[in-house]
Amino acid sequence: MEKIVNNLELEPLTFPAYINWEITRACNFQCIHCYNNSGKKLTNELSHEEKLRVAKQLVDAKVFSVCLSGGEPILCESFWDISRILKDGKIQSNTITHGYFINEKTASIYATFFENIHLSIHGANSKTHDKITGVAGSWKKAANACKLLKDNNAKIRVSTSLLSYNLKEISDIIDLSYKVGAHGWRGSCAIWIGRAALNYPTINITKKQYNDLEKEISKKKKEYGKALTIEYTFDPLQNSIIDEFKKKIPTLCCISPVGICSLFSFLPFSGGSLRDIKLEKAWEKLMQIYKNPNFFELLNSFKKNENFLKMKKIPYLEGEYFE
Amino acid sequence: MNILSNEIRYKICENIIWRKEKSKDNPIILRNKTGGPLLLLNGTASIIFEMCDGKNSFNDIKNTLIKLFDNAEQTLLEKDIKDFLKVLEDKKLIKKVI
Repeated sequence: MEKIVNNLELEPLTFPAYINWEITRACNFQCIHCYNNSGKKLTNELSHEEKLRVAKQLVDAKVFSVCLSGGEPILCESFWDISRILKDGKIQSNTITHGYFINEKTASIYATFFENIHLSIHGANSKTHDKITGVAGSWKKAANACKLLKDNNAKIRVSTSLLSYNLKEISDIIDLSYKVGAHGWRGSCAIWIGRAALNYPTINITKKQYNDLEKEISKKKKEYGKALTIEYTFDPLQNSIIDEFKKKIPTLCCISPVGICSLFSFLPFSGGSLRDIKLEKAWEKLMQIYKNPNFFELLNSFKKNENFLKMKKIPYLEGEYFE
Repeated sequence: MNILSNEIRYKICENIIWRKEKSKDNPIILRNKTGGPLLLLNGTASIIFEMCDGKNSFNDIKNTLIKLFDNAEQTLLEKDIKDFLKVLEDKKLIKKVI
């Protein structure tokens, strides 16, 4: 009877199982590798009330987990209210933050609301990290945020973008992650859209550098064993999109700051906006995309991360991708 | 299976999150909070899983399925249920209530 577990011959899910919600595009950083060109809040972002309505829909849909990202999520006025709705609704919540605004008071709230906190640290020292983020003092704040979160027993994972700027510091960043009490470290190459595409010539890493880096990270993986979960990907596009599409049943839905539902925030397929329609309807529309042969044809053209660089317009940089 | 084991009750492990789908036969999707793949149970498997609420015994589960599949051979059905519960237990999705 084992076969009835993992039975994938099912209809599409009524609702997604996982949600990636970019709740705002506002960010006080100007990271050189930012894929969605965060900085200014979009003028047409969902209102506070609309965002709370979406949060309630996610609870009603019994989604398994929601990851709140941005921009910097805490710069969204609805951040704590959304987090509370999800917490009260027993939805597993995670968030991605640069940690700049985490202080003694907010650290304990973060620890209460989020099961996983992904903290971005892109350098082993302030010189590198601050150069990447464009904000002086950002490394010090991120390191302090780790300490404060750890003091509150939060589960932290350090996320690092693998760039030419920090290539020689990756081992040190992994060591730092362990020292600050993170349970894991994840390194990922940038996605070549938004500011990352603009800065590609200066931040890209060559294939040879990747190979050397892979050896270095593997060594660290052995060194830390179970003490620190080390993960890395040199092609986030392959690891996220392609893997998701390999599944027989789609499970992930991304929500943009303006409410657009998509399979992936950087692919031009939308199920509509939660401003106008409910999640169930948007998801149903997204599932129709899977029946469209043109979708797979277009998907094939995205096979490699570098292919984004060949597009006529850079997504997120020369206008929003969907809107 | 002896009389005593027929009274065994199971409950869903605390770290398992699950929901019932609206589609035909109300399949259940579930996963471990700490990670791992999403599992999908078909209609029959979902009935068994949902009955692992700490209250229903093996007998209750068996009787429910006997009613549902009135043509089924009982010994085979019992074995199937037993095997399936073992799969769920091995995957740490359910545990015996002591």
